[in-house]
Amino acid sequence: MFAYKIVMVGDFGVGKTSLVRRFVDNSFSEEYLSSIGVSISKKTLTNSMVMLWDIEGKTESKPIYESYLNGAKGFIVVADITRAATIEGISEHIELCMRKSPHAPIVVSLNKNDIQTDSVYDKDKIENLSPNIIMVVETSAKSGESVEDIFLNLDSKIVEQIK
Amino acid sequence: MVKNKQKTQEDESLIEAFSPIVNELIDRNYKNSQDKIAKQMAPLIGSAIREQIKNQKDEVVDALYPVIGNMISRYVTKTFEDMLEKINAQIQNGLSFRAIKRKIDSKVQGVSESELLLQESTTSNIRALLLIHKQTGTVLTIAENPNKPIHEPEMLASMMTAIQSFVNDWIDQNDKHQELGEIEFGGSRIVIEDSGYAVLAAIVDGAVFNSTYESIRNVLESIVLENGDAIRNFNGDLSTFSNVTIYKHISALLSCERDEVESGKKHPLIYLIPVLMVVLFLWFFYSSYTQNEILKKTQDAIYKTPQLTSYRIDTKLEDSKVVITGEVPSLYQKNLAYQKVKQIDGVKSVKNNLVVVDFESDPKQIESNIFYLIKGFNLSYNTLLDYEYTYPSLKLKGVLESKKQKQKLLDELKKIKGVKDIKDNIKIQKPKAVVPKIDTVVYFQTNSSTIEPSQIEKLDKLASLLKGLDSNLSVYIKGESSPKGSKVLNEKIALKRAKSVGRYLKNTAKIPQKVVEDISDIFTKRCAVVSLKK
Repeated sequence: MFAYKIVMVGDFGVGKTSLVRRFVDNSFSEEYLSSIGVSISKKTLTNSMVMLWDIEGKTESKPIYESYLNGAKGFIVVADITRAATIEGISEHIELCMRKSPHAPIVVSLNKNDIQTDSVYDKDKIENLSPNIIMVVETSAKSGESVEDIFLNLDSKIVEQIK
Repeated sequence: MVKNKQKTQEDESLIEAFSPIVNELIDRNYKNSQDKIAKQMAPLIGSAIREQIKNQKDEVVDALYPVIGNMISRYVTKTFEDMLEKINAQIQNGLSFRAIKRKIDSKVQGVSESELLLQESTTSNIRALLLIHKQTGTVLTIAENPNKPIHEPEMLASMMTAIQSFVNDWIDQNDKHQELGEIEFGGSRIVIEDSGYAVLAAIVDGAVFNSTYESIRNVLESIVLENGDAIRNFNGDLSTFSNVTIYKHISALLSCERDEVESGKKHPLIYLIPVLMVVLFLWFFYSSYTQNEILKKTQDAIYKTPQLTSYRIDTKLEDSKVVITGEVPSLYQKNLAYQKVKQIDGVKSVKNNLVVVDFESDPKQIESNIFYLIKGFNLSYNTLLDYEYTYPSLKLKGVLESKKQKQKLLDELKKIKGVKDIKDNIKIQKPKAVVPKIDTVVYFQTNSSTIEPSQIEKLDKLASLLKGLDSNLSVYIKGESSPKGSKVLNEKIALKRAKSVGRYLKNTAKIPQKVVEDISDIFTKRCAVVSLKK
């Protein structure tokens, strides 16, 4: 049995909590409640017990408490596909993740793809931000699209690294 | 003035007219909008209470006292009930190892047992211990009280790590690096002991004492010393992380505290107590039996001593010492009783409390003494003595074997105080010797007086018997022969046979008796018959 920690990183309101809730409880709520501090969830997979750290999103006035990232075996960097600023912030988050855990795999989740939007992004550019990025994918916590994929792919990579 | 009066009357008329309607409206509104009213009233109530406390504090206290007073009283009562229950449980387990230890501690420390009991009742109990990987929040090892398991220990560990991380970040911003030491909740708390890579979290119910902190710290120190590298290199794979020694460390800490929780459990040594009690009982039984036997022997010895039989003498045991009590007429009896008791096997010491009393003037006591003395004498020497006693004269009747025996009797009688005039009609008569009947037949061959080897054993047995008898007796041997043939020859061979047997008994077997050889009056077979006469 493997036991490890994954941290959800991203700006405020990008849907980190919703992704976790969809993955853990298979539920979704339209109501937005800003996370304060950290919320931890446990998900038991076939060979692993994953502790999901859903930390408070970064805002202009408040940075992320970096200590929450200590000891993480993997990261899910989340951006809101409808908010360009959050996509631009991905690089900063990835930098932080690599600083805290230089070898931890990273999945970039471009969330809220259930909402029609005109914003464009360069997927290759995001993929090239770090060699640790194993996946850049559009997700929807609301519809559940690709939610399991991001967590399961990250789990496989982490287990492979631990082995 | 008139105008004002008129206005007042109008107002009153209006109030009278609208009052029922307004009241009805309020009632209806209240019924339909209770939640709304409650929301509107809530902030007002807080402000109203604050205002009232500011202005009339005592009144508020008086008003709330029945509620708050009762609540506090119930809380305190409940707390005391819990404590009493705990103390009662500890008292009921009076035979437990802990209870015995408490009693000893109480004596050694000079502190009352109740005080120690109270101290125990407020002791902290470690419910669970978690060794947590500091960075990841992974639970490396957990030891918990099976009666109070921790739900979702991984969540607890992660949350604690999160809090720890938050505090670290926050404190770092304030230029001070310190670790979170404790989280308190309700009557319990989580004591957190931090090392470089691991955190030992102890969930403690009740008060936490310095000794508890100390023991948690020591355990973490041991764990880090022994498993520091393994903890540091933990990569998330629990299957490769050996936590056997760690579990041993933390569960030891848990179990030593758990003893207090499960004080109902008895120490194995407790089961020795019934065994000891059985041994004690057997020893007591044996000791009692032995003492009774000794007592019985002492009483027998006194009763069977003719000089003491008639007196009221009793014996009892006091601390393994035989105490003789009663009354005797002289120092002679007192000393005699002492000697008789002292000689008994098993008697270690004797206390002679016999009182010498003058019996001289009591004819009944004198006669009683004579009666027991004569009876004892008869029993001892197998005699048939009798007596007549008319105060103060004693007449003796009967037969004794010797003058010596008679003198002994008279001497003993003279020792009885009050016996002054003894007339004896005792005859001295030696007992008749009892002659055993012997009728041994020794067989011979035809025309032979030679003793056959087969007859030798018979003669030796006879000789052995004769040697144990009175030498004044005479052994008669009468020879016989077959009735056939010449009478002269038959008589001749018969005498030879008698003499042959006589020679063997006298010369070979060396019997002490006189031997008389003769022939039998009637001849029936080839033999010699040996008999014994006075």
